[in-house]
Amino acid sequence: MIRFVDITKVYKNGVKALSSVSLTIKKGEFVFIVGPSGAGKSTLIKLILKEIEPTEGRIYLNNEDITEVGNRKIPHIRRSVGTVFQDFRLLPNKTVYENVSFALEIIGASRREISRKVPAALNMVGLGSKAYCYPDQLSGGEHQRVAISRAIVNNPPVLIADEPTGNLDPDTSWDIMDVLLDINKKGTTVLMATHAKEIVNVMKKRVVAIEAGRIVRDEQRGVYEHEVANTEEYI
Amino acid sequence: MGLASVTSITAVLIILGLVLIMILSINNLVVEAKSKFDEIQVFLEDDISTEQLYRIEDTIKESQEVSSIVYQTKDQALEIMKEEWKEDAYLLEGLEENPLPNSFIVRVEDIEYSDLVVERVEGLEGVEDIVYYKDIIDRLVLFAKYIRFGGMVVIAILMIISIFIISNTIKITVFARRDEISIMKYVGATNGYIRGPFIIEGVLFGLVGALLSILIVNFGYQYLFEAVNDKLYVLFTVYLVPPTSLVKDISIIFSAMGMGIGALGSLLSLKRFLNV
Ligand SMILES: Nc1ncnc2c1ncn2[C@@H]1O[C@H](COP(=O)(O)OP(=O)(O)O)[C@@H](O)[C@H]1O
Ligand SMILES: [Mg+2]
Repeated sequence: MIRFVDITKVYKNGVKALSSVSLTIKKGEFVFIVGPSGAGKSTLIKLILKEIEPTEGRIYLNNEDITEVGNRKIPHIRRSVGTVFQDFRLLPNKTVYENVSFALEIIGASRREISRKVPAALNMVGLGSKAYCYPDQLSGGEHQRVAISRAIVNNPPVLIADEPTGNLDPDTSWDIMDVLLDINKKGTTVLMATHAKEIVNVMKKRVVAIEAGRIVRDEQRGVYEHEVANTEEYI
Repeated sequence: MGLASVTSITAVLIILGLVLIMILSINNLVVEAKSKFDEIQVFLEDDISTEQLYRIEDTIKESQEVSSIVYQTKDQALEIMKEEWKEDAYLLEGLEENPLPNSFIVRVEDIEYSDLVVERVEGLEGVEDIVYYKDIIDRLVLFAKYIRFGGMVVIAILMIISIFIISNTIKITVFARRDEISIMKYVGATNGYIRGPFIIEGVLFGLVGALLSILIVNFGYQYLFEAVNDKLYVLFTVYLVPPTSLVKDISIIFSAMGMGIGALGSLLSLKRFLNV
């Protein structure tokens, strides 16, 4: 589904955000990318979204080499990858419904398709009753649910979330995790970058740990870090 | 800012209109002059002696290139002028003395020979002036060239300025909608889809500017043309392009240019924002 082969990313200012990262994510998996701030998690995600180009290595999405695609193909790649961010990125002057339908209008969906898919996507995240609210009438968790709903309305095979619970309190975070799990159970591959230790430890999903641009650990049913005491010793 | 955009497009197009009218009028003049192509008029001094007169006539006749030579007295010249001026001829009645000189009207076999004939006659005593059309045509063509070149430079500079103004105007809208644009990009909108509304905005500026300048140039020129026509300068208006023949061409050219400038301006304003 997603495959990184020896990916190195050096930013223009010389920062080496990723070095020789190789990673394969299969269809239907739920994968956490964990690591401290600045480890390179967002860089990894931006590479899949074609927001940035790798310095070395190759990236495959759905068995297609997307390392060097022309600007014209980028929109099609993004349509097959739903994205959710820490800061929600909703349009304040549009209703919940419009924020979601917007994603379908842009790709030229028919009216019938829109009126069928938007309510389904809102029900999926439990916001069916708030369709006509504006973002400023919603809580943080609800904001993120609208964003998730927008990301999946087009039924993309992959959902990528960059710290989706970063701005939310623990209880709300768990609600969001339930939604992501539901989506994953319906067959969508989910890739989530986070440093929410507690969530990762409880969920028992595949964990890929990155530190200073390198994968230091990759295990099924993993936890955030093994030696909890480590941090204290170093201090 | 919207006003500045429209004004700048209008200014470019009005100047384009002026240059067009000037060039077309000069072309008219050239065509007119070319119909009299083969004529050389040698004007004679009033106090010319018979001897000098014969020398001039002989010199002209000796040239093989000359096909005919006619002596035109100052009275004949005045009659011809009266005919040409038609209803304005009464203006000539007031003249106490005929100011027109006697002349030879010479026709050459080919326009290219006129230089040769002129060269021979030029230095002779008793010749006051020589008017021949090759000379005038050359000068007119050169003049038209300068106007065309100067006009193009001015228009190009103004076009760049208005593209810049429009792109800055639209940048404000783009900037206000940058979040929306960035989200659109994340959910897979093509650049064309995102550009659409901004290009329409630019093209609308262009169309409004075109409309204004079409009105200003057409009515302005119509007014000028009639004013010139009314006040005795019939001879002058003969060479001006008639306003009615301009309307269609100017409307098409201005609309196309206006929309083009608007579209270019908006494309430019989006360039930076689309590279996500
Ligand atoms: N656009 C950029 N230009 C230069 N350096 C960057 C850019 N984005 C991120 N970095 C650097 O790359 C490293 C990895 O960043 P990032 O992938 O955002 O980490 P994370 O998401 O794990 O916190 C950091 O050192 C960061 O400062
Ligand atoms: Mg990050």
